[in-house]
Amino acid sequence: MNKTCLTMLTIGLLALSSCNTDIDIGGNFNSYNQTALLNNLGENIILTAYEGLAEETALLQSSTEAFVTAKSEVTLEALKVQLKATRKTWQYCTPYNFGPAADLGLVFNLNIYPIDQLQVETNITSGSYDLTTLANNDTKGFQTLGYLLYGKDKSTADIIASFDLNREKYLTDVVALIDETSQSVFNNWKNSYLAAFTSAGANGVDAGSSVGQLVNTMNRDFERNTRDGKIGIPVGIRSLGTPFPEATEAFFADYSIELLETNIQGYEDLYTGKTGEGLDDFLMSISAVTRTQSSLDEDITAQFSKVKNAISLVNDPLIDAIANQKTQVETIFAEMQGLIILFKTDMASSMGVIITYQDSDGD
Amino acid sequence: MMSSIARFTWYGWIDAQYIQPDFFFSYYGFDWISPLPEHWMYAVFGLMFIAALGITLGLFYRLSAVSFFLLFTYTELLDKTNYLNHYYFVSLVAFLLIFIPANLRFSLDTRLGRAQRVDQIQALFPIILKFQLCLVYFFAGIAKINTDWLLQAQPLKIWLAAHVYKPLLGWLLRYEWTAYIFSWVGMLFDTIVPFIIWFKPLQKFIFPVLISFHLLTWWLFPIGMFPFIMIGATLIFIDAKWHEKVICFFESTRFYSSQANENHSIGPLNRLVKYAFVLFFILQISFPLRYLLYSGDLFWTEQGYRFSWRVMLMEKVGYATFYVTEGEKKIMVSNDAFLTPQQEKMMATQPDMILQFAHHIEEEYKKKGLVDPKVTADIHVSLNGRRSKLFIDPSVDLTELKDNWQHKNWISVQ
Repeated sequence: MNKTCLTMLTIGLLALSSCNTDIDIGGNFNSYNQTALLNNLGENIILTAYEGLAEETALLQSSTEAFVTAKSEVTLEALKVQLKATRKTWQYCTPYNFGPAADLGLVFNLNIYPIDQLQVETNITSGSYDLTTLANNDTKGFQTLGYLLYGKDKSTADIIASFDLNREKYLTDVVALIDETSQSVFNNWKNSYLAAFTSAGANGVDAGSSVGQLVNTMNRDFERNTRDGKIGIPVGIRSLGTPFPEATEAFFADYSIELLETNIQGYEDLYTGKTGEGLDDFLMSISAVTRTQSSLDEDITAQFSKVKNAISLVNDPLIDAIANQKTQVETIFAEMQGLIILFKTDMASSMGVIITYQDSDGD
Repeated sequence: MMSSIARFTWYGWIDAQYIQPDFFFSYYGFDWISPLPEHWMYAVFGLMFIAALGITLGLFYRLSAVSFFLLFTYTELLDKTNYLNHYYFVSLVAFLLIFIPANLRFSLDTRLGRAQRVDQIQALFPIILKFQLCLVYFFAGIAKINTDWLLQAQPLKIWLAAHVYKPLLGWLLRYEWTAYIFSWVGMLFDTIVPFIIWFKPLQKFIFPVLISFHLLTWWLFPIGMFPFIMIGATLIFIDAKWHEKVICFFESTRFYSSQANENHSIGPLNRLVKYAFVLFFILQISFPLRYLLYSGDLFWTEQGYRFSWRVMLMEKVGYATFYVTEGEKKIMVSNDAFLTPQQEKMMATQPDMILQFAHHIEEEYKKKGLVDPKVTADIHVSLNGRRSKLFIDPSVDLTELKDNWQHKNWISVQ
């Protein structure tokens, strides 16, 4: 045994030294301190995003009260402005649908669209409904507020006039649920989840680890809600190319593109970690693991620019853009597709993040 | 095997693998095998458990062995998403056990007088099992002789890097040389063990190495029961005297009082069985080598990859987007409307599954009213730390292609 073994080992080592001069055999190829990454992402990116959201939903709550107390063009306008501000802060929270956000159903209470307008009206007329039931999944959140405050082709006077007691109550209830859920998620993150997220036990990249969870959920959200939800479905990828205007995010308020722009910024913040450690630093630090890591970071950064550039060529309202400049809108979709390919294949595989939880041969 | 079945059920995998999916990736030539309705699948696993118990206790042995082989193989043939080399190994061993009279010594069949106790059986029987086991190691070993594994230490570099945060030995995995040592030792171990394990004097050195090797892989990788199956299976190489001692210990307990019969030995082996075994092993040796008949890079095309004892060789991640077009109309398919996450993941890197899924999409959209839909796919795959590449020709209408044993020339990376 020993002879054969030694001979083969020698041959092997010879082969190694002759073929690969670029290998640093003693190299320490993953000494990356994940705690620094998790601290920065947890505190400065994720918790900050939820804090911003909680602040804005509290203001949304008070603007709603002000409007209901004294209905006027001024209070309505103030409420609309606050709604937009809230929706923009939400865009920074979308990649993090795990932990408290998933447990408390944040996205369901805030941003499911298109809404079921008929069911909304039925609820308002009857005055009895439970917004937390499955049956009312499509009758709440930001787009419902858009429906109530903007309508479609309605004058401000008509909108104000439409608010009877039942409608006021519905508006208040929808806003209350948004605020309540956002506050709970923020408090949960601040008081307990942040500690778990950044703890040494959550280091690593497997299914239970923070990075594993983060990469999996951000990919899923980007694919389903950003690429498909914000652009793909409205432009018709699921409906044989026939546009689906009601499926635009701000169908009533007409600022879907602006929301998308903010959302992409949220993703870029997560990737770069802003001024601190981000996924990019992690990727660069494990460069010895894969063959062309620095080019991967360059490509992801470049792809972010391409996405942003494509968005900048399209103007709100998105519905008009789909009707008049469909090719440009489809370009946004294609560039986002380019980004998700880099996230889901190159980035996930070089980090070693496992996507599902079954046994494997490793093949 | 019983613990394996219990574990499988406990994790909810019966539901996830056989009940949840709407579509199953059948094996070539086995598309007539389909899953039973919900509670019947649980019945299959229940019966499988009883059969495994029967084999273990040596009770109604042959019936148990036949049923276990049939039931186990049936569940494995349902969906290639769940293909694992060690399931294949279990199927093969279960098949061999049907012909091996393993119930003639320490078993309830002999205890209850259902079979005549025998202290010696034909040497051929244990040799068959040993030989099968050696094939697994040997092919797993030579499969590791490739540039990714030996010269780049891939995919181990990626996988070990993912474990540097583990307590105790995690720090060791931070070093690049660890990945190289693991790669080379793994290759040498798998290739050499099947030759030297036959020599009794060496066994006391080999077994500790073998056990630590398998435990190490269990600690590092999500490979389930495999390490324990291999450790258990290799015990067959230990001298019969050792097994005899263990059996005697149990026989001396009051639960199983030994019957001091005179020694029987069973008659000469049926010639037909002999020839069948020879044929079996010719197949076993040649089937893993079928990849040699294909052109193109095996890791990319996976032509001849399964049933060949290739384990732990690839970190392959893919992203597949399918498009259905008819005339001017175009739809992007939501894979998750048809597949479970696991199916989606496995399909995205394996050409035969991509083709099967494309045909399934064609069927589904015909049901929705399209007449002659074209199905194309934009698939990007990253292999062993390489940057992702365009995997198949995105202009090819996959509905026009049929899966067969021929070379798949529509794979763009060869």
